[in-house]
Parts: sequence; C-alpha cells; structure tokens
Amino acid sequence: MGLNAYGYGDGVGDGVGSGYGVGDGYGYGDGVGYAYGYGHVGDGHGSGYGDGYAYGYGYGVGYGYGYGSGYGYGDGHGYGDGVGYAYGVGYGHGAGYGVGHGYGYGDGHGYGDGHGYGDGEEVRRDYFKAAGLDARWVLAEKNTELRREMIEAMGTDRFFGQLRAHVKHADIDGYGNPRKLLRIPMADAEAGWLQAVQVVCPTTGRVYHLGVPPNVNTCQAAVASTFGLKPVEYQPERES
Amino acid sequence: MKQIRQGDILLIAVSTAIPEGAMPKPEVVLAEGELTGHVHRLAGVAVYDWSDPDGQRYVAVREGGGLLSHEDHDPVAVAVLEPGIVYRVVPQQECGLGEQWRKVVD
Repeated sequence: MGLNAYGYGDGVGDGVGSGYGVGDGYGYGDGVGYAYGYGHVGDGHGSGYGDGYAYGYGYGVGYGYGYGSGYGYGDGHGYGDGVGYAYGVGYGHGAGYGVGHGYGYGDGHGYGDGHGYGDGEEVRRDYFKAAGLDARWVLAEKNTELRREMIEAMGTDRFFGQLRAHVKHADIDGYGNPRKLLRIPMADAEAGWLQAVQVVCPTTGRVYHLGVPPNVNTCQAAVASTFGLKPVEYQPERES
Repeated sequence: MKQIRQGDILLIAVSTAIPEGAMPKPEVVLAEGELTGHVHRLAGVAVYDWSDPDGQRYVAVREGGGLLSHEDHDPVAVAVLEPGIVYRVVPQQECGLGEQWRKVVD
C-alpha cells in the first residue's frame, strides 16, 4: 500500500485571503493510494470561501478489481460562504477501499472528506453508472478494463454524444434526416475503433446514437445491422 | 416485403400463415421501454401473437387493420397492419461498445 498526499491553497482579493488544503487517501488491500486536497479563499469582503478536495486511489494486484469511492463536501465559514469538497476513491483487486480528505479555508473555510469502498465488478459498474462520467475523462483512464467498463456504463448515446468522432460515412435517410456513421479510435477495441451510427427519430426529432458492428461502412448497413438485416433488406415503408 | 418501423421495433411481412388454433386477442404489447415504460402496442378486432420453436415472434391481425400505437412515436394509433398478413417482429439491437472491445483470451 502506498500513500501520499498534498494540498495547496491560495487567497485572492483585497482583504485577507489565505487558505490551504490538505488531503489524504488510502487504498486498502493490495492497493496503493494517493490523494490530494486543496483550498482557496476569496476576498476580504465577506465572500471568502474555501474548498477541499481529496482523492484516494487504491490499486491492487490480486484477482479482478474492486474499488471504493466516496464523496465528501464541507461548508465554509468566515466572512462569506465556504464550500468544501472532497472525493475519495480507491481501487483494489478483489476488494478495494479508499478514503480521501480535503480541507481548505481562508477567510472562509471549508473542508470535506470522502471515503468509499467496494468490491467486485458489479459494485463498480453501479458506481460508474451513477458517477456522471465524462467521455474525455474516460478516455484518459489508463486501465483498459476500467475504461471498457466506464464506456459501457456511459452507454453508446452519451459516450458518442460527448465526443467529436470521425465521420466515416454520412447520408440522408428516407425522411430527409441526416445519418452519420461515427468512429472513435480505441486501441483496445477489436477493430481499433468504436463505431456508432447517429440517427434522428422521424417522429420526435431526437438525435441518438446506436452502437454498430465495427465492420459496417455505410449508414444504411449500420442501421440495417441493428435489425439483423443486410443493407438491401432494410426498407421500411413506414417509420415513426 | 413490407416493413413497418416504430422506434426500435421493425415489423417485416413474411409468407407465413397464422397457426391453427391461435387465439385472437384485442391487443398485444410488442415491447415496453425499460426506462420510460412506454409501450409499442398492437390492437385490433382480432390480434394474433405467437412465437415459433426458435423463439421468433410473429403478429397478425384479422377482421380489420392492426392499430399500432406508442406514447412517443404514434400517440394516436395508426392502422398500418394489413389484415391477413403475418409480420415478423424484430426488436432493434445495438452492438454495444463493450461488444466491440478486443476479446481477451484466457
């Protein structure tokens, strides 16, 4: 297990502004952890604030993965309002546990702490679904398995909706709406990319994305594939 | 063959007969949205709904057209299914991003 922490803070304004933050995090089991926290404050006119942030990360080496996560927040007090926020997450094989604390205050002060625990893919999947993941953040995840789980948890529509994907093919459907076959490079994907088709519901006008096999090259083939049909076979006379 | 699509449901006309002994109903649910609870519904005077041994589902109507409705796609039911024609029910299925991942061989 490893642990490190750091914090910083700053104060701005024409009054007394100062702050600091500390944080720590733990990863349990076979994991290692790190965390950080920070805080900063506002001005001397009663609007100071502080916040804290902590992030804990544990990463193990046993079987499978577990994780722990948590959020914390804190209030600030002083001339004005203070806010604090902390976030802790830990990963560990089999079981993981993480704790994080963060503090920050100046004229206002705030603190926060977070802790979490969990084990097994199911818990982690639930966490990812609830976490409000951002696709760009997910792409930055170095662990292939975690990245896959995050992407699955986000779902095709959200994942592709947040990224500027390469347009492999584009056309107009039978209702005059644009269709786009989109690709996002992904070294860990079977084909080297993830693929989805962007379509418009002819009734509601809603734009949405559907995952399609990586080997289809046209929008027609992509949509047809979602019904198990060949491109020439998919010819709806009425669509709503 | 004639195809009718309503959202994530595709009905494809096929040259299959309504099985003998099939009992008609006034309406059947073709699919229900997991999140919204909205329903793809087929109604008519006599609606038939059955599956073959492989699990493939079919629907058909007699004695008038089949009324298709759904809260979003067809809030007002539309008579789009022709009587006497059997339709294969095909739910839309996407190739999930996890399925596109490189397969790991143990």
